Amino acid sequence: MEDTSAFENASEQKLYARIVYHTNHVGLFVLVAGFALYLTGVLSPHVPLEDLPQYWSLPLNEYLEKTDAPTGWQWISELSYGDVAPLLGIAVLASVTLLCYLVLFFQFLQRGAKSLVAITAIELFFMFLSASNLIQISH
Amino acid sequence: MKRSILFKFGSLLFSLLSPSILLAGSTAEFDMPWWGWPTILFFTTFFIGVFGVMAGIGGGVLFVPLASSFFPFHIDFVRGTGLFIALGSSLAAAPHLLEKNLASLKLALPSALVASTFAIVGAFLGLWLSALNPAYIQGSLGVTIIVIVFIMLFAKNSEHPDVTHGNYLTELFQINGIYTEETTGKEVRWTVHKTTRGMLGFVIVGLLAGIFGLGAGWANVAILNLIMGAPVKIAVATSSFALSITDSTAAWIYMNKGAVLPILTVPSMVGIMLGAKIGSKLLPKVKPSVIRNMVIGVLFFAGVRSLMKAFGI
Repeated sequence: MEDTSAFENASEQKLYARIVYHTNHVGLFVLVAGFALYLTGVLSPHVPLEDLPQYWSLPLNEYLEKTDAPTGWQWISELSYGDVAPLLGIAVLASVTLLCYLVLFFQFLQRGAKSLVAITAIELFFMFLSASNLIQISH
Repeated sequence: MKRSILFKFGSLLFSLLSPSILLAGSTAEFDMPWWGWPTILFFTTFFIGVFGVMAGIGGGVLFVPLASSFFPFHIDFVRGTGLFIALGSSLAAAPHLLEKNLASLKLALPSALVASTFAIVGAFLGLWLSALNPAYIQGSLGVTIIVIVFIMLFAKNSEHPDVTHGNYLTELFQINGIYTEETTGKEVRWTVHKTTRGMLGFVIVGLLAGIFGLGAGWANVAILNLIMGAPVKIAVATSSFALSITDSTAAWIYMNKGAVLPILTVPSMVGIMLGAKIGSKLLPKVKPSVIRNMVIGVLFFAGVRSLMKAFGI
């Protein structure tokens, strides 16, 4: 007889699904709210909306030089600008997986699944590294 | 009846693309208010969402070549948006797929680790190449898209592949699971093999995702199903879910470098999510293979256009 216990889904799968569901909704709400504040002019942008067509076809470096748009984590201190406000929602959406992995890490640790603890720890390291803006390349 | 639905969909697809195709190459001279291009982008991504779901093709792979070839936005911003489109679509689909046990966490964890690590390398490589000369990226994107078209045309998925026996990695991460096949009500137990070879495939997936901002779901499915032997339903669902992990590292890099323009990213994300919802409702009413061939045709056209743009044609 086949050993059915050998085939099973990770018990953390449903928890992961619930975290994604709720945080994704929060992220989308923040994203749309920030964008509405930008489009309606409640928050004034770095670059006026009507001037945008002059800039969006520029290469990234040139765009950054001409508009003084934020890089790295500068956006946090510039959330009062209309064209920066939507980045908060974008950052929340980009953080959903990171949050899920943090929860997974402690869940796996609790049940002593060593290989899964290792894999989530390495993934978390790379996620934090890419989010931290610590890696830089020079041209 | 079906023919008339398909005809309507076909007409819609071409009417959606024709304005941008007609305007391609003359965007600099075209006098349009600031909201014109973002509005066209919103409708384009809406239809990409509708047809992408019906064709079983991710939004990012359609968005990047179309937006970089037919819109005035610089390819750096298009790639940043492409990653967030793929991330947003994946996050929206993940809860349902995980709840139904179609997407597998145990299968996604090692594959996404490899892909997301190499997506970081790809993101830097892409931004570096683009800073040297955007034509390098535009041209290699064109070639990549044409190769993807041929893979899509000739790779035939296998419903339930024969899995011989797993290797050390399969055992280490206990990559297996159970799902209920809704058409028969039977429980299907699955595992995978050739895990090392599969992981090497995810190196390429990660690099492509980072360089071009593509979701790379088309490649995930091929690796999970054809190489590793996961049932096609598990491969498709796990691929959709794993994109949210793979793309998140590269997405942060593009955001930190300032390559995410809200005026492009927000309408595109909202458009594709709305479109995907409509597409999933229309799915039972259409023949996916016909829609898929039409979309592959558009993709081929976008790949050729991207290549031409790289050579200044």
